[in-house]
Amino acid sequence: MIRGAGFIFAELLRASLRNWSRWLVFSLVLGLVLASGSALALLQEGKGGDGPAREYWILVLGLSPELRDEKVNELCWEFWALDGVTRVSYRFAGDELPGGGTAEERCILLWTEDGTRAEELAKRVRARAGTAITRVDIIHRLAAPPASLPPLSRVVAMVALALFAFATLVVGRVAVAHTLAAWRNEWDFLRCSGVEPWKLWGAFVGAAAVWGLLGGGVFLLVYEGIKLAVGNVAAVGQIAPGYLTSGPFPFLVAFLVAPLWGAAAGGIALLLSLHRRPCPGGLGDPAA
Amino acid sequence: MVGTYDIAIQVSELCYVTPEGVAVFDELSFTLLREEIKFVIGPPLSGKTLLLRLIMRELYPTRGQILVAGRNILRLSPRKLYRLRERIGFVPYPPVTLPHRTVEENLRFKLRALGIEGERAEEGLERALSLTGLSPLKELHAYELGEGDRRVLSIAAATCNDPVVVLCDDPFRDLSPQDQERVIEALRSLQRGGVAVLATARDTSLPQRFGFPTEAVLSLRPEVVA
Repeated sequence: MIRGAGFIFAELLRASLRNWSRWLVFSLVLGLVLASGSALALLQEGKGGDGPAREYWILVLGLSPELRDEKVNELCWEFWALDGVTRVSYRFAGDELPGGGTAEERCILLWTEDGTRAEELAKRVRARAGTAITRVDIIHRLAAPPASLPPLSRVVAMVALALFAFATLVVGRVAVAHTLAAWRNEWDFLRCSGVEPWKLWGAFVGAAAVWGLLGGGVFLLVYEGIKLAVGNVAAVGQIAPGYLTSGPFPFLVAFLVAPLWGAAAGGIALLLSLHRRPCPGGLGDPAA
Repeated sequence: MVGTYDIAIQVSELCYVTPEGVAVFDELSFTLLREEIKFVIGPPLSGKTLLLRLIMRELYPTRGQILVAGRNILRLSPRKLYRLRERIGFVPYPPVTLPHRTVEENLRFKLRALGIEGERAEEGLERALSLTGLSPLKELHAYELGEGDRRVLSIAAATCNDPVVVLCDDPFRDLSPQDQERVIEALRSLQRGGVAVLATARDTSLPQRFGFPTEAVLSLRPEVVA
């Protein structure tokens, strides 16, 4: 039976609005719980972040203007099968080349990380392609190591998660205690009226869930805002690849985890606030 | 001849022993008919409030049986108990009202919280206001009422959802004789309206002073400690 439960919930929500500042702090701290939890889930711990730069060589193979597209495609597949080739690409005349400069003609690019084999590869390519390749240039490049976080970063995120989770309980306790004090007459009035305790508990838990949802909304705004701002920074993709491809993750966190955690924190806070609180006429829980 | 339907509360051979081993009631038996007022008189700690709590099944008796509106409350499931509990009006001491709401809003608050709306709510509201004589004061905030009227508002709140019986815990305590008279009038009005009333009081002379017969008084032993 949920008769009247909606009314009690709406009344309590109104009472919580009169204590909006405390509940807002609760929402924001809950948002921090979500942020630290998301960091824990999405951040990739670094292993070689401060290691040496990686060397690689690129063979730029100039293509004969008469060469048809099908033949170019065929050559690419052929070169891809050569030992030591780690990547194959293609540039039109005028396209930018890796490391600067522009391609003067159509060209195939072959990457290799083995410097000793770059010359040998050039010879083999010339031998295979014959007149299809007009010239071969070798470019030497140094790649910066991928951005990464210190190994302890996930531990820090975990500690932050635990701290903020505890903080939601503390802040939630304060918010619930003040709301309960402001709503004391209503609570006692309803208890004397024979309203089932779960409706009163449910109203508090529901209100905490709504404020949790607000925290989830703030989290989602910040999450998406940061993604918009730094989403095209290469290091972000290296540090937290899941962040840029997270899909429904932030929405699940904001609209499911946030209200659930808010409700749980509100319930625990209410349990602590009601502890040893006398009821009018000595009323306890008759169902117990 | 009294039928089951005419009985609001029937208590049979009730015994309650506190966790400390003190026997509070010794085979207490009484019947409260609909349209009857009964006073439970006794000194402090004689078990008056305890009796009301047992009737609401806030506590379980050690032995005995309690029927409310013909139903054995000790055998009801929690859900059924709450359905029945909504038919028992309770006026605690100290009385609980919502000071910053009007008299009418106080009653509407309870009705809506119990899920009573529409015509039934309007009927309950009007009935409670007219039975307790609070109709002229319905626009006043509870904090604007005098002590007696505030006590009566608590009685009206216990009455507005059409209960079978109203249990009043010490409704005359700390009231002036005029306010006590006001409360008695409200309780008599409930009785005339078909609601049984079980009220506790410390003052043994109170029922007699207001012209109630000795059958309307249930005296509890003074030596009991709850």
